[in-house]
Parts: sequence; structure tokens; C-alpha cells
Amino acid sequence: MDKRFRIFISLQLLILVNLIAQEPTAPLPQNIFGLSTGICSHIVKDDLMSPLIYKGTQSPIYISGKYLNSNTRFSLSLFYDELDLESSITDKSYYLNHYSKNANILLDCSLNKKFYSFENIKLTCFAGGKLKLLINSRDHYYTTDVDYVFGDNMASGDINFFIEKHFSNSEKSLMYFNFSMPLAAVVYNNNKYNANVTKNPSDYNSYFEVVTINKLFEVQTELSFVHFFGRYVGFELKHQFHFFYLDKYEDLLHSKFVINQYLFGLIVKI
Amino acid sequence: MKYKYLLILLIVFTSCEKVFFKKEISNTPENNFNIFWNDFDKYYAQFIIKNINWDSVYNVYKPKIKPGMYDGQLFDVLSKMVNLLKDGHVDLLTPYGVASYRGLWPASYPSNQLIDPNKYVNYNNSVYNNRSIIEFGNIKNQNIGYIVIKTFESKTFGKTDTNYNVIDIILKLLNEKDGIIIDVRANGGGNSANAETIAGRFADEKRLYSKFRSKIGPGKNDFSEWFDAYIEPKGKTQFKKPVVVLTSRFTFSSAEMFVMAMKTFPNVTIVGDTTGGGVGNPVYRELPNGWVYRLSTMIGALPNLFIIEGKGIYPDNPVVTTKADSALRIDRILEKGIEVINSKI
Repeated sequence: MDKRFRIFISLQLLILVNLIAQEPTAPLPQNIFGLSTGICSHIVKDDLMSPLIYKGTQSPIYISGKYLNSNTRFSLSLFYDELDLESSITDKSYYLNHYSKNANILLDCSLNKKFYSFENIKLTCFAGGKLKLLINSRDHYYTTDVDYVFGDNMASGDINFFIEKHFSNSEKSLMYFNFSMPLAAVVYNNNKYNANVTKNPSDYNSYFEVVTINKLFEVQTELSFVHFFGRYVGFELKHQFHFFYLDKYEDLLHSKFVINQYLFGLIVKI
Repeated sequence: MKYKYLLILLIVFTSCEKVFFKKEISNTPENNFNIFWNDFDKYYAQFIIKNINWDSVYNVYKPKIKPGMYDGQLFDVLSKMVNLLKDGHVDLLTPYGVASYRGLWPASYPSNQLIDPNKYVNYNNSVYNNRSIIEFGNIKNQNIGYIVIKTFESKTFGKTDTNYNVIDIILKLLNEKDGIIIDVRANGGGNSANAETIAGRFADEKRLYSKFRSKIGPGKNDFSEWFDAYIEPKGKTQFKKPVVVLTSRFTFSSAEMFVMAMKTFPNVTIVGDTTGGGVGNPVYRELPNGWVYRLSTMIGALPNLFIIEGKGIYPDNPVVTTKADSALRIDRILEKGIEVINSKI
């Protein structure tokens, strides 16, 4: 297990033990902040880069902030990780090493309004929108001294659905499921036919292109379990899934990208 | 169980590789051959110029690929395909060695070598610079400067490597010379931005020096339009006295971009042998067995659309150094360069 992850978990457990207070949960509105880490797996297939699938796992950093009132769920989160992606042919001890140095930043902000509630099962449905910024860079090494930088960078406006489930036997626990999908996105593209070549050499400077589902199919889901030990402090277990399929060059070359992560974190209510 | 649907979702998303990705391409001789052939078919820019029917190449070599054949046997087949292309920008890098075509510029060919430069040049070591890139000095017994540019390589794709800005200091030191000889006979290329950095120090005005087009689609004729490449004055001052550029068959790729740029200036004369002939802007690709290959994606031409691929740039003053010259340590090309400078003073 990653050393950073172990230290983080130990610190959180220590804090939890000290902060557990046997008080009832705070009434709405609430502000909840969280810091999580865990295991994150990336899988990438980029036709520009390689015919092969590249993957890797890492402990990411995930920071979130939420505002909750009876009708509204507002959320802001930042996800970051950096790792080496490897394939079936990776051999870093050798001149022909084949791997990608991958850096990933995902920043999103969502606002959802209540539209239906099932009072008997304490389940509330929200809908709204999300603004999302993805910065992804992959420095792909074909040999020890030959590398090209690839990446997928985009900002999107998503439709967002949020389902929140409270438990009848506990006021301190809840589960939620979040689903989002972009309606339109601005992709930072360079329209390259291969690692070097564009239709126009000035395209080396890249450009912003507005795309919809015709060029970008993207899904992001989040399933989370939250439990408060006392009035202010709790923990969150979360599974996040992020998939996109992007046309990089006309309908010939595509990139496919999956992030799958299991997170555990400390949350604080203010 | 109340939350079984959420559990199902979790399982679906967790097993995402199988759901969202096709099965990984397996490492078999057939797959390696097919990817290799297909990538050239989609990306390689020189088939028409070189009059090569790549479909025929497939028909000839595909039957030689057998299931379970050894990697060494596959290497032999792919090496033959590489050699057919006669392209200095095509390589196959494997644990068995590198397959590449070097027929155009055998290193042993005397004209491709700097024949005993110490016989002709007093090198100046007063400036700290990367001597694996540029060295300079004076031609012995002459008021002529000498600059040898050994490479245009750098890790700054599309952008200038600041190491090449040392040319400003060198030109300041050679400013009082009657002329300068620039030797790129042993320069196999690199990054054309570095070539423009040097050439710009000799530019009198902005000039069109090359045209190029790229392969931008899988069809045989899917090329971009012709684009213009310009050279313009760079640096605080430019050297406008007589300049000779020495070339050989080994002068290749970005070094040929340099020669094309220098050729447009009125004070510059190209002396030596025809250049290697290839400005292919190569890219790298990889195979499921871990081998890496490089292929050309661009066609380069002089401003009059004379395509230099496979032909090279003809010098203004053609000279070769013969084996007999080499044995006597006579550098005919450099001597001709000195003669040209002296004739213009």
C-alpha cells in the first residue's frame, strides 16, 4: 500500500478517535468539507499514442466542499493524481521502455434542486447542473529518450442527478448517488492526425472547440456512504467512476479514458 | 436487499475494463505485422513520391508471417519492408538491433566526413558552450571564420533550444572576419526550430525558404495543402558578409531545412555534395511486442516545389572529397569553401 495513503489513514483514525462527540447531528443548512484518498485506477486507450491499453493505480487526493439546505445541494470538489501508466510491453529497465507519465486534475462544481421526495423511504431526488474542468496530460515514452506529450483537456456543462437516502434507524448516516453527463463541452484540441502532424502547422498552438455528444460521450457517477460520529465529524466511503470517449481527429482517432476510484476520507461539518 | 441495485451498479463500473474496452491486441506475429503495415498505410507520406505500392508490399510479405514464428524471423521480414522505403526517417528499434536504410549516406564515404579539421582550423575554446552541438574557430592562415554545427537535436519539439543561442556570442567573436564557413556535413538533423535559430542570424530579410505538406488522413492522397516556411532575421545583429555552407550526403532532415534557408540569402553559397534528401517530420509508434518504429509524415520541397525527398538539395558548387583525397588528408570541400569566400572578398 502506498506510504502516503497509510500515513493519511492513520492520521484520520487518530483525529476521529479524539473528535467523536455523542451529540445529535446539526440541523440544515450545513456546510460539509472533506479530504479523502484511497485507490484510484486509470485505464487509457489513445489511438494517437499507441494501439495498446495503458493503465495504472495510485492514491489520489480528493478535496470536497458541500452546502446542504432543505431544497439545495451545492458541491465543489477537486481531484488530483499523478502516476505512471503501463501496458503489457512496459519495461522501464530497458531502452524500449513504453510508459506514460500521467497527471490528472478534475475540478467540478454542481448545483442541484430538490424535485421529488419519497418520504416513506427517506429518499430525495435532486436535479441540476455541473461545471467541470478536466486537465489531463500524458507524457508517453516510446524509448528512454523519445517521448511525446498527449492529453485530454476539456471544460463541460453537465446535467446532474443526485439521489440522497437517509436511514430510518440512524440520523447520522446517509447514502447518495450522483450521476452527470455533459450536454456540451469546450475541448482544448490540436486536431493532430498523429503525434506531430496537423492539417495546418499553426494548429501546433491548439485551439478550443465546442463539442457535444457527437464527439464526446462522458459519464461520471459517484456512490457514497456518509456517517457522522457526532455533531461535527464523520467519515465518507465513496466510489467514483469517470468514463469518456472523445474524437481526437475527425472520426478516425479517439481517446478512451476510465478512472475508477475507491475513496475513504474525513468529513467535517461546519 | 434494499441496496442491491447500487451494488449492481458498483460491480458494473468496477469491471469497467471489460465493459468499456475491447480485448487488448495480443502479441502475435500476425498482429505485429498488421499494425506495422497499417500504420505505414495510414501515416506514411512518401509512397507516391517513391512510387511504392504498399498494397503489393503487403501481398509479398504477409504470406511470410506464420503463427508462432520467432521474433528474429519477424524482424527479418519487417527490416526488408523498412529497406524498401529507402528513407532515413524510417527505423525499426528492437532488441535484435535497429533496422534502417543508410544507403544514401554511408559514413565511410569521404565526402561525408570532416577530413582532419585540425589541419585546417584553429579552434576557439574561449566560449563555454555545448561542444557536442557547435564548435568554431578560424581557418588557418586566413581571415575566415569556421563554425561546425554537428546536430540540430534537442528535447524542445517545435521550439528553439536556448543552447543554440550561443551562435550570437560566436558571431560577435567572428564579426571581423571576411567571411564564415559553416560546416553541416556531419549534421543528421534534429529540430528545425534550432536550424531556423542559426539561419536567422544570417538572414537579410524575411524570405520563403521551403514548402511542405503533411499526410492528414488514411487515404493515399490525403495530404494537407502546401504550407510555406519562412526564414527571417533573428538575434540582435546578422552576419551579412560572404558565407559558405558545406554539405554532404550525410546532411539530412533539419540540417537540410537549414541549407534550404541559407540558400535563399544572397551572400550564401552552398558547397559540397548533394544533401541526404529527407525532411519527413517522423513520428514514433509501437507494436504489441514492444518494438518501436519511426516513419515520415511530411513531404518537404524547395520554394519552387522541387521535392527533396530521396533527391536532396544540389549545391551551388558541387565538390566531392575522393578516397585518394581522404588518404592524403585533403578536404576538397573545405578547400573549395575557402576559395569561394576569398573570391567574394
